[in-house]
Amino acid sequence: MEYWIAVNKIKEGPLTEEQIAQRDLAPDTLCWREGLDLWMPIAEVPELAHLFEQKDDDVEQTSVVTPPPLRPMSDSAPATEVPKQLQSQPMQIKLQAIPAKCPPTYLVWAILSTLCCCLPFGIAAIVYASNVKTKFNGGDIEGAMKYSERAALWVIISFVAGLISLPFQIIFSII
Amino acid sequence: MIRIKRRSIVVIAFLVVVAMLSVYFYFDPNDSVFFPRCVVKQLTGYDCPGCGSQRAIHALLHGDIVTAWRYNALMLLLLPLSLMLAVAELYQQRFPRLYNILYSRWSILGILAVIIVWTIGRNIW
Repeated sequence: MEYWIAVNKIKEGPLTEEQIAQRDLAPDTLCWREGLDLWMPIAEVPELAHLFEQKDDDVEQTSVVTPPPLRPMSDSAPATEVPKQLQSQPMQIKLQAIPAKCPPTYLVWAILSTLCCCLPFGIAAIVYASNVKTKFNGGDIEGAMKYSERAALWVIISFVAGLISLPFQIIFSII
Repeated sequence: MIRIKRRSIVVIAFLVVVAMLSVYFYFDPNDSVFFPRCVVKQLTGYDCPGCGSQRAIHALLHGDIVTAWRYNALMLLLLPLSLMLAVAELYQQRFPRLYNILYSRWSILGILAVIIVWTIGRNIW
């Protein structure tokens, strides 16, 4: 299993469990591995929790706080269980702002809007889309999200402009 | 709940696409006045990157790739590419390399350059 950690909002990884054990990380360092929807405090990642139980003087507390796995192991488990668990952990809801995956680039929508004759807005969306992954790979998660949102905004502007101009397009067509 | 909502969006989108495709199959934008016309083309006289898409889709749905290419070659190139981009994004866990290559800054700017050069080119020649 490989883990990613975020120290001062800079993403590091992939790391193995041993590498994490060697580092002197605070229990609230954000951590993510495949299968987790959100970044969570490293002491609350089930497989890593034991690393922090030993260090922590407050053994009682850590063992109580450790939540069950975020994802139910079987598909048959009701999906509503997950949000309920999240609600009991206000910390995790705040963390939702930091995505584990690269934010969407909306590139496909940008291309489609360009092809649907909404120039030049689709072009702007493509330019923003081109920066999302570069920012994300550089560890600038906030920057990546900003560009992702801008790309989405221009795709929306593009389609709305297309819809607004639709009556004019049909008038042109009839004349 | 979220899963159900997502599925219904997919179903609605699918139905809209099928409806639009059947309109473009049964009606030829060349013969009918009810198809929207490009505002950019009407105002400036220049072809935009999307001009000819409707006629190209009509030709494509009738299997006439040559005619579709003549109406809008860019669309013919970008449609399969968009499909690939969508697959790479949806299954980025399974195809991480493909995803990283397709969504890198340089390939996106490359797509942009192709669109711009082709649009200028189609208006010159």
